[in-house]
Amino acid sequence: MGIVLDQLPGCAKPLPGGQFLLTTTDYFIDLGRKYSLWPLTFGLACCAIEMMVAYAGRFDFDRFGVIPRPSPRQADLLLIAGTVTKKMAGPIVEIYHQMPEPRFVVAMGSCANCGGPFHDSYSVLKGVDKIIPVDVYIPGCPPRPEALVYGIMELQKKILKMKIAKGGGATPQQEKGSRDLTGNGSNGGQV
Amino acid sequence: MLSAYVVIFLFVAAGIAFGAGALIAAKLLRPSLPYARKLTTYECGIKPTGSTEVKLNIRFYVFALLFVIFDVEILFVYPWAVTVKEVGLLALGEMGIFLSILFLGLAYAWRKGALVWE
Amino acid sequence: MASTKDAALARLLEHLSSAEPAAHPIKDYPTVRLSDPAEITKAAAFLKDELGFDYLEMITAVDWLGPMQLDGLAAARTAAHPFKETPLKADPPVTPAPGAGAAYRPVLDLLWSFGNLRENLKMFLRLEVPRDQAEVASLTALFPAADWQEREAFDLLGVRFLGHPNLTKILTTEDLAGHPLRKDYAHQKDRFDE
Repeated sequence: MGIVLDQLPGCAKPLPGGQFLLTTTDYFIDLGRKYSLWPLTFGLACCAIEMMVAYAGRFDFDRFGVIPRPSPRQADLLLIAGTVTKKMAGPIVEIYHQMPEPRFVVAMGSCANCGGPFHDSYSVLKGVDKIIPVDVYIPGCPPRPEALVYGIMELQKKILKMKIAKGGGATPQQEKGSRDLTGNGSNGGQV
Repeated sequence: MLSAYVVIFLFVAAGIAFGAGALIAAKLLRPSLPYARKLTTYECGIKPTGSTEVKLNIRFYVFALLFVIFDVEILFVYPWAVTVKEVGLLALGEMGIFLSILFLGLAYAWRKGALVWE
Repeated sequence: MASTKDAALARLLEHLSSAEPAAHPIKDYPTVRLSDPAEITKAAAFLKDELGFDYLEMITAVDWLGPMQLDGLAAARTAAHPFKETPLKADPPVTPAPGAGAAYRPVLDLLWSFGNLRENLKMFLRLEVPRDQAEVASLTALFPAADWQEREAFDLLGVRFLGHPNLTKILTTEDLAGHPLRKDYAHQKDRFDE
């Protein structure tokens, strides 16, 4: 862990005005994180088209600091846009594990939320939250680009609530331990 | 005269501080939670298969070699260029001989087909 | 255009011994019904070499078994919806579509689609094979595109293509047993279907 994230809460608390220092640090760290969300483009189906439109000129995503990245090593947001088949579930979990913290997941569209119109199919995963923890769900089939932009704004609000005193870098979802995927806990990192 | 060099030194120091500052700040502020699964090689989510050794074509080496030679040649031309006015015709002739020797080398590489990309 | 289409059809029928124009052509494209499984390689070679149909578009099959009442996921849709007071109605009894003209029978109706890109023509070949012994020659030697098309037909419908270099699953997960697009496929819950 970075030295600041580890030591600062402990050092700052006894100091006079230490709490103010902590909240200011929290604010600036979260500001940096939320205004430079770099998604790993994970367009799988029709929602990918709406996602592409959101990146393009009319609903410009770049003004939020959102730049698409092709590799999980450079991304901090996994934007699942489209139907997740069971065959794709394995690669999605691998890629999620290969993203560095702090990492966030946004499930875009009905199919990523719950399987969508293909819920009863033999080959469709009923929602991507069966395999990875999701921070924001965006309903729609497909959601309009404005809805996707609103979803990212909701994620930004969620990021603003992150505190380094608690969990230091982990997302609120991961802190709750809804699905232990780091491989350190009892689950052992299994899907 | 010394002050001119101080300015250059400050420029270099500022440039280094800019880059180093960003990297140091990042190191202090980022979480570091490595685990085995995170450190696996990225291959679009599937298990990495195949060898990691990439066979580079020899033409890259040939072009790099030629570039370095002629780049150093140009490097030698620079100090000559700032003093040629004082020294005069002799310097011009001297540089002409130097360039023509290196041009012979270029002609040889050209004839040998080293400049063809395919 | 019409004349080249009919000319191609006539030449193909002339070349094959046991083929005839299909009873129900696909739209207005020439459709040939083969009756001998051994003829498919001969037909494909003739189409590719002589008639200029060198673009294999599709290899698939139709399962004529008819609608079945299944256990598993299909029946679950008739169970009461958890969020609604009134239960879902059961699916109404299915009658065969008018104009289909074929009674339900245990066959897989294979379909090959060839294209002639220079003259803008399409040719469809159909062949019925029995469901429990769905085997036919592979076209990978003539058309490399047949490789993955045949793997898909094998994975989803269980049609074996003899002479295929690598006839394995391509679309379904490793732990899915059976052929999902067959009418009598009953889905077993796997680890993703919690």
